[in-house]
Amino acid sequence: MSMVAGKGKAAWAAAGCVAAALVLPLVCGESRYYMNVLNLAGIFTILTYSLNLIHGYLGLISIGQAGFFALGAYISTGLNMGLHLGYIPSLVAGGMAAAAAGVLIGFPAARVGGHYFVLVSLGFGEIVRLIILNWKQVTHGTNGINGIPSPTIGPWVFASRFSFYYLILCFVVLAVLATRSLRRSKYGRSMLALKSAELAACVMGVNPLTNKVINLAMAGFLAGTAGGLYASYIGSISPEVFSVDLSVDVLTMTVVGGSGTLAGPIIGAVFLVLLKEWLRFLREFYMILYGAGIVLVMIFMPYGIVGLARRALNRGGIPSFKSQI
Amino acid sequence: MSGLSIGCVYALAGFGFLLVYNAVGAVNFAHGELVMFGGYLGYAASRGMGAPLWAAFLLSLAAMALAGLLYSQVAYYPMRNRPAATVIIASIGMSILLRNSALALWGPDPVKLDSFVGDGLVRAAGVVIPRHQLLIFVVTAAVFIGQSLFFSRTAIGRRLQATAQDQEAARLMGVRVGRMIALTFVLSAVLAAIAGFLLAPLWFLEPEVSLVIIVKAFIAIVIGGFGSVPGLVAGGLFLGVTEVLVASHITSQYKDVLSFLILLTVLMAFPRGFFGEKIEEKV
Repeated sequence: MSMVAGKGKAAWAAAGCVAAALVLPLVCGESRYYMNVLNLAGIFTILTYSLNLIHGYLGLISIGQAGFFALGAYISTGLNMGLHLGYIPSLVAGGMAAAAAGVLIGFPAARVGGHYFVLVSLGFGEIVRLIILNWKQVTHGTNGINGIPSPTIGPWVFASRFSFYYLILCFVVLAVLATRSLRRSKYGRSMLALKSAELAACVMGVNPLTNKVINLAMAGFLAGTAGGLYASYIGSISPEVFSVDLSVDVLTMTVVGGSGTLAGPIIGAVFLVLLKEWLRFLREFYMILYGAGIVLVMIFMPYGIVGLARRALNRGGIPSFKSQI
Repeated sequence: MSGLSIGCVYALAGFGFLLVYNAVGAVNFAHGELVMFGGYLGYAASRGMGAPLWAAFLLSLAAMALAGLLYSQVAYYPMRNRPAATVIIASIGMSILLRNSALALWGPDPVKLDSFVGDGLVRAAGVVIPRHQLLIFVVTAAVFIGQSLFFSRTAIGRRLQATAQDQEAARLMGVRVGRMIALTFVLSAVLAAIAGFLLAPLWFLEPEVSLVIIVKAFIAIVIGGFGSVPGLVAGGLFLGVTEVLVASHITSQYKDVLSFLILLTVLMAFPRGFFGEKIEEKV
């Protein structure tokens, strides 16, 4: 009974969120500034869903999401501008390239444990950045690529911030649906089993290699797509965007929102993008507070904002909420 | 020769990291920042306050010991019973905090710290090496011989080792486990300061250098097999020499790409390093 009621409630909540997201630009659409913040938050939300897969479902920590993001951005831009493949095919190809990179680092990830993966992912991100920086014939090095055209799908051109918002919203919804269906599939359950007790899961017949590779390919695809969206939104890309700082931002968004939950990535990404805007006046001190903030979150709310909300709601007597991870 | 000396610094930087890992299983990704801070504190004391270099060194050691104690109380102790990932993320948070503090305090421009022995060269048996490199060899040898004596011969060293091997058993034997863990962090930070003082005259100090340090130290540890001290030294030397050879003979632009590729290859082919970490896992 409570499961059914819980599901109904969750469906209503989801519908409410989508409706709110649809009308949001009508409320603050006048402000170009806030539309920009919203669009960036949307792109970061997709990136955070990507890390949410890796950290929330495998328990691995990646500080190399910028690598996937950069691969998607550069490859989709190259295919779109150089080979005129069209926007959506280029975007998908960029995502696929990042997914292939995910498979590549999935192999060492499957063989070694948690703390190694942190460095493997950092290494991956840095390799991508250094290659972009040094392979000047293709990437133009530090000058980057400029004049990237706005997304064009058939007759529609998403040139304004207002229209771009809806394009990104579509991809955010796709990321949420992908995460949700993974959670309910055999693979999602296998991954969670690996996360909680790898050896026990292996004994029960869960193949760590297959599951980790699938997970990282999915995560790579999401981050690569986010990269392609970013490139066409900003209109220019250069290597300094894709630094470790970006990867750390994504990690922070994941853990602040609540890793492994369905709503956490949106909450974390939107919250931190807004926080960065509001605290802009602090300049270099912002990053100091940021670091301190991560430590404090880890000490006092290891399951993020969603975990905190759940605890508060459970006290209020809604136990079925927990089953909706 | 310069490859060997930079390899020694990697090994020293890695040693402080490894000490904490072996003792409590915590991976401290802010260790690169600790090394950098050791160097910066020396710079601030010698250039900023005009203290002689040895005084700056002692000051830096003392400050870093305190920092290590603080670090363990803030970024390890509250999370000691949580999953390892929690401690790792907290240490990444600490690394952002420390790196940006350095940026706010000393700015983004590279600064130089003088060496204890000046910039001169030494001629011995037909080889010419800079005096600072000789100092690095001597200090590295002293630290690694010293640590083996410390951990095997002194009472406090044995207590530290007992804590690292089995905290419960150590506690039953009357070892104050909490204090031993704090002491491990202090030792780790002091070692970071020493590494910082040796590294700073070789490279310039800048906030971004901390990332390079932690990555290189980590690669040295991985090559040596996570957890093994002799392996770490060998790994550091191997990495240092390879880097110098590659930079001078093949390409200097892709030097850092290469060290990551070494890391990936070692992890793929020898997941336990060349010297082997004992992997035991309980369900």
